[in-house]
Amino acid sequence: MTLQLPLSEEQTMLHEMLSRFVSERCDIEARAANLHANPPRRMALWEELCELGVPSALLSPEAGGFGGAPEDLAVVQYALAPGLLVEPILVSVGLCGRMLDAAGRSVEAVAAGEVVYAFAHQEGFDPFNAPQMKADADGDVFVLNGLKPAVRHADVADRLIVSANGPDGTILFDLAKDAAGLTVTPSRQIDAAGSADLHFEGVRVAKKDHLDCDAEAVIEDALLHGLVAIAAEAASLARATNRDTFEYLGLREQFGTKLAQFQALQHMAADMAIAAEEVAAQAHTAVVALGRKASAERNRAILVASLACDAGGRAVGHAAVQLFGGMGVSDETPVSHYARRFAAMRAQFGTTDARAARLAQIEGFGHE
Amino acid sequence: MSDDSIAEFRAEVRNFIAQSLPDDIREKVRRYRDLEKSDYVRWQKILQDRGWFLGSWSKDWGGEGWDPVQQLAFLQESGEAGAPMVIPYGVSMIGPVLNKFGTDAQKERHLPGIISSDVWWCQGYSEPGAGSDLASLKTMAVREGDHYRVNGSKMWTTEAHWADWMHCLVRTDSSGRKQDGISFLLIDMETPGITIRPIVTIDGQHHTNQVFFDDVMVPAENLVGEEGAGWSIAKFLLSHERLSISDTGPKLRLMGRLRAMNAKVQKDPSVSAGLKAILAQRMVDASVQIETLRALEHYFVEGWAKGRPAGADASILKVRGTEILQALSELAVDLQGPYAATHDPVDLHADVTGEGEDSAAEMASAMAHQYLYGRCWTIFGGTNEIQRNIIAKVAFASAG
Repeated sequence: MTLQLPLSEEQTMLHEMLSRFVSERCDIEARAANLHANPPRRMALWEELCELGVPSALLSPEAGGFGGAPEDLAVVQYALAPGLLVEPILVSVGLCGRMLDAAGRSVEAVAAGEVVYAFAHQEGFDPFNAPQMKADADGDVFVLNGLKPAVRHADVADRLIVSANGPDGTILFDLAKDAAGLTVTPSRQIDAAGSADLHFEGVRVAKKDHLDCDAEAVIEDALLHGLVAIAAEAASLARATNRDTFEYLGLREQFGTKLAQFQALQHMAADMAIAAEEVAAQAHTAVVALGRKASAERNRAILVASLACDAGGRAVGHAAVQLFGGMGVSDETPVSHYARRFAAMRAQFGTTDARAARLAQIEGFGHE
Repeated sequence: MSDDSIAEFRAEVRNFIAQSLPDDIREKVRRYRDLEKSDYVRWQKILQDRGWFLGSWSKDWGGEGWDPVQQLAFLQESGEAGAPMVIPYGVSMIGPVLNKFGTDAQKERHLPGIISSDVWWCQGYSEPGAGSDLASLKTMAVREGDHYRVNGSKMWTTEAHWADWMHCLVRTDSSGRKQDGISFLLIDMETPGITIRPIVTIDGQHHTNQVFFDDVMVPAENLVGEEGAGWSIAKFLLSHERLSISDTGPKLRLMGRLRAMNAKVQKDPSVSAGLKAILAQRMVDASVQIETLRALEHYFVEGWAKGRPAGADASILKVRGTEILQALSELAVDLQGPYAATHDPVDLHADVTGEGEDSAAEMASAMAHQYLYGRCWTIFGGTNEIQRNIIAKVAFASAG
């Protein structure tokens, strides 16, 4: 059962199917072969994910899918987490598909996996801040100038949802990545996913290509979905990390005895077990909160959960690497990749410090 | 040495590095690039020409006979100023061992290459089944006439792929106490039967290796000391490492980088006052930690010079030094903001000779490298769990 959530029969089947997919198709050596290739094959599993119906699970029936609820998001993220996928399922479908749908756009191509989106929004530490990138009106077009740094999956995306500061506040655009004036400088993320800096220099977008929606609300909703998604992922990854680590402690012998017999290591393992349960509890809380109507309380609950999941997940990742010893820092060992995925999550949808500052603001802990 | 003359010596080291460190190496270090073997060799030769390469060796061995305080001053200034570290496997490890335990023939054969940095060494200690429990090592050396036949494998052999020779712990006897059956052997890496398998670490780089020995024939004259003396020689060797164990120089340099990055964030109008306050608090914590490490290191080293028993000092420095590096590197990554998850291992090898500064993504890669490789330090060289066992043992013993 995913995070003790009340799941439908379909959601339970989806979880089982995706878990099977991870165990059959996501072994660490095949992943390394794909990601060490030049250029890296970061879409290697994309078609299979689409054939399995993962995009449909992340989209509501109104948008042409069969899911789209917080529980569906949790199931997908939880089941796929140990597979360490770098494919842009969450961003392209779960977030961008959701935003397109909110603006009344067709998401058929996104749901089919034919068109891949990246979300070019965050500029500084905190994506909940309004974008500063300029969108100046010029007749029938907007002219975009500015930088979107290290946009996750922008290397493999065909299209972008871009946020900017327009004449009347924040505005969202649906833009092709090969738009004139847009320079794409690829980079890499610590979990081996792709990214790119996007430099907009006089990029002209027809006014009809802006998303007709309450951009601020749609962005906030997408970010909250993102935070909940990685909370569920962190819960699953912490569980997988502990499973690998505890198994290793029972196998590895030093000083004539199993590592699991050393009390100092038992206590580290106990802390990991505690952390994993805390992460699971907070991920559960976050999924439930996401299902509620927009409110400051909903934001607060999700921010708290995201901070707790970062702290717990990261502690589990670090401890696992330490307990595996030399093998823990080897590229050949899955826990070294789990730890890197936790490091990536810490900086997705804003840095942890930025989330903490925002929580302090919501709570009124500071004097702002 | 008096405080004044130490301050003078520190200034002399800083000046020398400012004048003598080749520009390309200086630039690589400043931009946190991975150094090549040839960079280390070049710098070590420059130090040897200056008469500082053998600073810690006694005058009997042809060194400078620096006391611990002066050795520490040199290490700190070099690290903070961005000079490459001196690779320890030759001059700091096998060199002192040969001076102390080697035959005249061994000294004659090996010391010149160590002193000139023309012969490169690696350290074959850990094995797949013998990490923390080093005494359980199984690589066998069986005497056959005037040779040892060596079979087995060594793990985490850093820079084995650069090495001409390995100083290696092998098992020559399995009958008695594990430690008593270990011998210290010098192995030419060109000997038939040696295979090196690269190991890529969590930072995406190749620094370390597994080395396989398949019927490798090593001349018996390459045995250092008696058969079975390997364990005590290894302990002697590691005692020479205690001065460099907390390695504050590079950490102080990283702290300088943190200060610069934080200053930039604090000036950024798009960053909220709340976030600035959180980062400022984290900077305070980092600063207190690194300054405490520096104080602790001075306190111990001055103590040793005055006859303080070393006790668990080296273990304390290892635990704090490595864990503080991890804390600094975590903050270094978090300060990258939108680039905080950016890391491309390739960036560590990017050219530095052209015009222009590193991109934000390249700088982030460098800090992510510090973070990822930082995970290794609490494991390699005796895990921090083993160090804590030692600290507790000494602490309990002293309580009587």
